[in-house]
Amino acid sequence: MKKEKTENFIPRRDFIGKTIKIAVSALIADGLIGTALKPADAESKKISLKPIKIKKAYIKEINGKKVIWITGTPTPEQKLLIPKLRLPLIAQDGAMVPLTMEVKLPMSQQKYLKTFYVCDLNNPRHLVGSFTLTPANGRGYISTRIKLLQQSYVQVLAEYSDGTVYGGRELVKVTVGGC
Amino acid sequence: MKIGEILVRVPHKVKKGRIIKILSLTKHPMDTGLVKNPKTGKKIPKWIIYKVDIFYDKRLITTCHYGIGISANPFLSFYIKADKKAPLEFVMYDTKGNIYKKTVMINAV
Repeated sequence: MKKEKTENFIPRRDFIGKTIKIAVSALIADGLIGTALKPADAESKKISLKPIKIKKAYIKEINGKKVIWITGTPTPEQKLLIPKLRLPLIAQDGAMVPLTMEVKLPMSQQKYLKTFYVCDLNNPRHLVGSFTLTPANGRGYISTRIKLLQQSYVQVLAEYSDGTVYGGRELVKVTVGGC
Repeated sequence: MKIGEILVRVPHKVKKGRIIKILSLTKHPMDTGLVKNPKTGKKIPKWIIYKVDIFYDKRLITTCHYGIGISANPFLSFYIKADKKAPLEFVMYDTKGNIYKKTVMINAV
């Protein structure tokens, strides 16, 4: 019995030792692979950790016409002319952000809203689109859906029939970009 | 829905001279030309609607110029003054040369 026990014990010890060796070697290999991968990971993290720059600049000119930005409290006449935008505070999907723009000025033959320009300086192409209206529309109102790459200021410029251009803008936060 | 099909929602009876809202939705991929296909690694070529014309009683009312920043399946809504019983026509132009059309009657009573 004793002999059998000893005969049994030695292979067990051997087996445990071998398993430990294999485990250690595997761990070392893992570690080696880990060390080899580490710098690349760090680089990618560094790239992602860079703070995103948001272009805050106001658009000064469009089609050779000066854009009027009103800072401070506007007069009641100017309130009619400044375009208002409606956007979500936080857009979960950047591929489809609803945007509505409106001007309170009633459309008449003497003075009416001619074009809406939608601009976004943080996207690869700044001009998103332009919409030209006529007095037959009856109301200066357009709503669409746009794509946004990152957190940015969406700017809407309203051009009137007498040539003046007014601007309005609003901030949107985007969680997942879709451009 | 096929690509290029246009859905338009119009109130089915309107009083004359009222300002009514019109909603429209078009099926289109609107590929920007900047996105890569993850399987093949090739760029998906640009394919967008670049211009939309809207006619009411054969008179041009609004034109829209689209860039690449307009979302896929473009949605557009606007107001018109319903003066008379006349057709409202949508005409869309594509970068591949396709033209999509849709006409709706406006019943102004």
